[in-house]
Amino acid sequence: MDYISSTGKKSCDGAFADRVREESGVAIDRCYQCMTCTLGCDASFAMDYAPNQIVRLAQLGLKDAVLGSTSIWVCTSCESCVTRCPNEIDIPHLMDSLHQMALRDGVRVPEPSVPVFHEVFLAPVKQFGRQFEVMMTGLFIFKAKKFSIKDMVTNATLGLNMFIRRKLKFFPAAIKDKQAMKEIFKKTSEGGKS
Amino acid sequence: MKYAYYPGCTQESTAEEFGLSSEAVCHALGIELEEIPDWSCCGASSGHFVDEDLAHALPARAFERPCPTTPRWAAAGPGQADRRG
Repeated sequence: MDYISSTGKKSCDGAFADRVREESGVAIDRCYQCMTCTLGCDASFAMDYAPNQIVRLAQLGLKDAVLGSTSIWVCTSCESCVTRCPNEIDIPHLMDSLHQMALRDGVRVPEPSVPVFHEVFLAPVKQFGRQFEVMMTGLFIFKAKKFSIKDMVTNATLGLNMFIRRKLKFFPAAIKDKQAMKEIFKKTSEGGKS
Repeated sequence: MKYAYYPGCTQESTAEEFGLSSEAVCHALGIELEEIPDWSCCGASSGHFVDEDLAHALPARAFERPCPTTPRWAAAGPGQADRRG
């Protein structure tokens, strides 16, 4: 089946739609496009497709449009949409499944600093068992290549203000059982699932 | 009234004031808080962003910590409040 949009003809991939249903477990077929999700979405201004459109694209199996969209990366999981959805469609969970699929399928990421942020957020958690903001921020600046003068000034000012207000610690608050954290990561996100 | 207390990483760093005020409010209400021994990060938003199993396993570790004297729970970490985490 073909889908004709303003940007031309696209072919619907039913197998992809089924994959989304199965992997996410989200009831995308319950959507009747009331747009309540989009009207309450704090991040929709930064999205190319609004949340209700993402659900529709997923139903139609328009894989390239869904997995290549900025929307699946800029969703902040604030859960306003699913809280208000009359059909209780868990859009944040759908977004999680979609960007995980995009990463697995090697799709080009339009917002590359987003997955970098989440990766560096979890690095101190794995190492110390708790968040360590100084390490996370340092890794983020380095890995996301935030080296411009503007970025440096913003980060230095923010860092100084946070330090003055006791919001930054210079030593990690490590837990005792660090091995448990390594096990958790090994058995889940690092592919050791049985 | 005594509760096992899970503060979460942020309560001890970027949101220290929330931790201090939560503890002050609990004290004023006569609620005693006992911190879960050796609790670890709940993974927050990044946990479920990266991997669903990780998002469940991280807070699960905090919940399986034995808290010697208290049957009740109080949790402040974002992963704890998450319906999915």
